[in-house]
Amino acid sequence: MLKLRLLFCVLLVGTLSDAAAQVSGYLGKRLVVKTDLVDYWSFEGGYNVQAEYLFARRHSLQCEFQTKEIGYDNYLNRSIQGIRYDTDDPAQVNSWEGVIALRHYLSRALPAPKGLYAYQQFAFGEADISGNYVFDNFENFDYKVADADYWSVELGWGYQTFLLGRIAIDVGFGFNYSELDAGEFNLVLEDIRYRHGSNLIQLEERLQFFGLSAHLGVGCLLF
Amino acid sequence: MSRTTMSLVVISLYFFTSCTSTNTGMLVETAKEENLCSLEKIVLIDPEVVLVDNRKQEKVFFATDRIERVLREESQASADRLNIDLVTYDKETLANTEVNFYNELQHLRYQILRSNLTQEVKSARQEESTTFWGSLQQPHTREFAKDPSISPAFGYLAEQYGTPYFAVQGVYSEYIPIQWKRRITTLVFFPPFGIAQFLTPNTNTFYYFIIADVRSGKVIHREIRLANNRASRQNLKLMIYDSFNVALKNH
Repeated sequence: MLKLRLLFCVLLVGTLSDAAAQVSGYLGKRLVVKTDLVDYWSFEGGYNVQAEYLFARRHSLQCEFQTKEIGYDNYLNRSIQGIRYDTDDPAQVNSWEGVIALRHYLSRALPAPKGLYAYQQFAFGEADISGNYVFDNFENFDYKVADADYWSVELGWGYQTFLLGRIAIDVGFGFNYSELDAGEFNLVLEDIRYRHGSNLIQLEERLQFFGLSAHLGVGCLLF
Repeated sequence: MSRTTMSLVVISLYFFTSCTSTNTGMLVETAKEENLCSLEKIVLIDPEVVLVDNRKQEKVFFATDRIERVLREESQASADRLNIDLVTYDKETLANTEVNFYNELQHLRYQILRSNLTQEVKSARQEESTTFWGSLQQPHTREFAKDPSISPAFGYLAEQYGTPYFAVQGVYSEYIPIQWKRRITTLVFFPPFGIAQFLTPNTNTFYYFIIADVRSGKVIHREIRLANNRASRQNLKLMIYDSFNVALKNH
């Protein structure tokens, strides 16, 4: 609830541009609605909606909501409390994420939201995870985790341009650090947690949650 | 690594990336507040484009007809969007009977450009721009300490053209040599900066826009910007719209 209030406050501040502001946007248009194609390619299901609003000459705020559905294989290569190896069935993760990103456009001469930018984003969400393991005695262990907390921070760079004055093309990549906290199930889900953050490559498996992610946004410049 | 530490690292890196801005810039200078008034109608005198290839020892100048046409069209389109009555007098599109252009406007254009070269103008930072929110909302804007002046002999043009505001506008775009050693070194040691450099075209485009008030004989608005981009229609129309918007909001 606190996060939703924070999101609301940030949106409110973003829309309170003073009347004399010299924010031109793209020929007077400052709101872009997009979707990320890399997420559709990376995950088995879900959707992604993004809205970017230019609140200053070189800064914009992007709010994003996405759901993911994906199956992760559990490769537990050591025995933990009698769990020896995984089953053929992947763990199923269904999650939602809210993302707030602040973009800083690098060119002073060409007005945003066109051009190269650096961004910083914070994501939060929840995940429902279900799967099973096989014990040493070949007994199946089914588990189900509801509303596991998820958060990530990401830093990256990108480029946005517009075709025909309306169609937005937004490409970028970033480094992120994420955590999926499933409480008492963290140990069992060790192989899943680190892979939940980025949509491209995960670095340093098990110990850290660093990853690389990419985005290819396609959308429309509204007003 | 704790969440707090990680957040601090990311925030520090974010401000670090802000420094990846290439050598693009923009400077707006306006007249003193008492000399400002609303820009409803502007006469634009002969927009000029220069395209140069500086990659070889001898400079090569390119034909500019197409870009000049783009400049005219996009200036008119931007003025229409912002409800500015813009009248452009251009030697390429004039009828032979428009002798006033050669007798008066060309001289005025020369005066406006000359006033920026020959007069020492010290400018002071506007108070409004010093606040954090103001600096986010406005480009780097300064106020003339002493407004640059042009000859008062052109005052009669205000009545003749129905406005005291006459403007000159132009684009200077140059291809510059690529510094491969610098780019590769930066890419190896500082990949984010290097990638930004590789994505940046090896072109500098300067854009200027100056407005003078012939009644008072003063330059009331001056803007210059430098972009590391080609002088394409897409880039020019964004710069022109922004330029007109900034001029309109400043007056």
